[in-house]
Amino acid sequence: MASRSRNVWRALMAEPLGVMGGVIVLSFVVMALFAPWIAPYDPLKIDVMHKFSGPSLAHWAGTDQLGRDLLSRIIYGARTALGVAMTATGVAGLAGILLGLIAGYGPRWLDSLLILCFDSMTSLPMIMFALAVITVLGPSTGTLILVIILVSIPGYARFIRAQTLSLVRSDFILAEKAMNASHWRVILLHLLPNVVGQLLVVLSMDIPVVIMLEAGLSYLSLGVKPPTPSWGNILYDGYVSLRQSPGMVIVAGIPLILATLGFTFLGEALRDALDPRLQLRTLT
Amino acid sequence: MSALYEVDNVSLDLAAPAAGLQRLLPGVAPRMTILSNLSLSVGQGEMLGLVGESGSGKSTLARAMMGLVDITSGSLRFEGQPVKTRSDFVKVRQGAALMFQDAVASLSPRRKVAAQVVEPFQINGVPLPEGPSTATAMLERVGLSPALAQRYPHELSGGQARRVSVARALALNPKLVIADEPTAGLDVSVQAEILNLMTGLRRDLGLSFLIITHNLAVVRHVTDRVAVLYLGRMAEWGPTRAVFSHPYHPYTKSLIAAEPQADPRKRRANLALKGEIPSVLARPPGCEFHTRCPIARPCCAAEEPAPRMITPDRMVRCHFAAETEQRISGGRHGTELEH
Repeated sequence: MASRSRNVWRALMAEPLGVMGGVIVLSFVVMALFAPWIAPYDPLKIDVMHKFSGPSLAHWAGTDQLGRDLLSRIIYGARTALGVAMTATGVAGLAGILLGLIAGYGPRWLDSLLILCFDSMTSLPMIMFALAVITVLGPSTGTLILVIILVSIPGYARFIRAQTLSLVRSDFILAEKAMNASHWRVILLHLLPNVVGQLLVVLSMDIPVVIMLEAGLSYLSLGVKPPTPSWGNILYDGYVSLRQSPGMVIVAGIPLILATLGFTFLGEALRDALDPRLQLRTLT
Repeated sequence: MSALYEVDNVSLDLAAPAAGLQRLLPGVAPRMTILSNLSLSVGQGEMLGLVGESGSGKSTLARAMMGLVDITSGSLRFEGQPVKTRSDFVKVRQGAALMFQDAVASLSPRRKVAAQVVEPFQINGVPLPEGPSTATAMLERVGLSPALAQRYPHELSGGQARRVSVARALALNPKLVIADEPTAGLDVSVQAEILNLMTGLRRDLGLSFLIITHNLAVVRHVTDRVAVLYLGRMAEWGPTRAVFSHPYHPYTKSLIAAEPQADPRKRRANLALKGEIPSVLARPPGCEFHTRCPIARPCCAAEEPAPRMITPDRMVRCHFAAETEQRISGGRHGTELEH
């Protein structure tokens, strides 16, 4: 296994876009983890005297309508964005793997039942569903994560199910059964490793989508409650005060774009690196 | 020669791909017969060849014998014990091994060869006979370099993958190896190596082999007996030499005649079959071969031929097997059986 992960690492490093994506993602992670040390100001500290100030030496990215330092808010916003995105995609991914494997490998009636659930879930318009849940539970970061998890599970489960279905009839699974392999062995040793790699890629490419979703719902005041800094909240504030300070929307938009690009590049490089069949060129 | 694996009167139906509302009515959904009243036995230490066109049910029979698909009726016996329940098949799978047609595809794509060849031990709770060096020892046994242990399946050549699957099949010292197209997709020289490997193993270990193939040259060179399958039914079986020199069933004759001959003097009359094997969804009534049979008569479409034992070790299922024998090979009396 050690040499396997070394190979994956080498393949990842051979991809210039992958390296770039990795660097971007890593810097966001560092930003989120060490926000209190990196941020020059308290993101919540109001200083009305200096509201809507443009970029200056004191405030590199300027201040918002309450005079809060935008750079600090962006840095703390990374915390919200990554926290929500990683928790939500992580939990949804795990649930998707479990349900997808059950649907793809289990008895047919169970498959039909699960597919029915996924379909009814997918048929709900996402924003309407989010509104309904938030109306019941009240807007909070936790509710936001819950909504994103519920909305994402069907897609991941379907993805895993489709992969599982294409594998259960393949020769190597039959060969396992012809050697008396148990269901657990087939699922854990032979199905899981073959479906999980692809899903990791999908997940890493979905993280920017979820970051956008968080920003979007926060923008609609359905997500992270102000004054907690979130890129979506900053974007909303920027939109409201577009006339006084057009720079705010741009400042809040840049990290969104960068995070999207970084995770997408990393995801694509990961997809190539995780497939041993594509590793031949890096082995030689 | 006592029977090791007996297949007795086995039939296998599958639900045909039904369209629309038919799926909701189980009684109406069409069934397709893949195997029909098939009997076969593999003797101890015997190499039995099973031939037939694509779609004749050869691989399905192999899978049914390993319990990978359920038979609809009939019975299976392994080492004299009836094989019915799941636990019976557990025993069968410990005493018999199946080699798949596509050797590379039968290996798990994300596990190294070393991990895969020792799987039969791990699955069946058998301690590794040679500890950590078991995998390399197994590879050496089939003539592979131990360095291959660290490779992934896609890094193997066709012949290497085939040897790996032989190594894995031999892990638990089975009594029977079912080899599905063991030479498919290999160079002729590699084919010969694999066949030599298998005949060597049979000689040294007394293994029985069921070799499924449509390569008649393979059957002719390595098998003791041959069984000819057509559309899920047995057309003919008997000792390989006798069947090749003296085929009774018109289907067997056409198969043998279709084999390329290097010596023009040995080339036979053109008996090549016309058309494709019929679909299992539209199984011809009566004798299933009558639609393509060069000697079919009206009664062939009406009546199913019963298995007929020509000699105690030869079976043929054809109404007119005996008569046509004379007519077709009339000019070649020199090739009579040497008994």
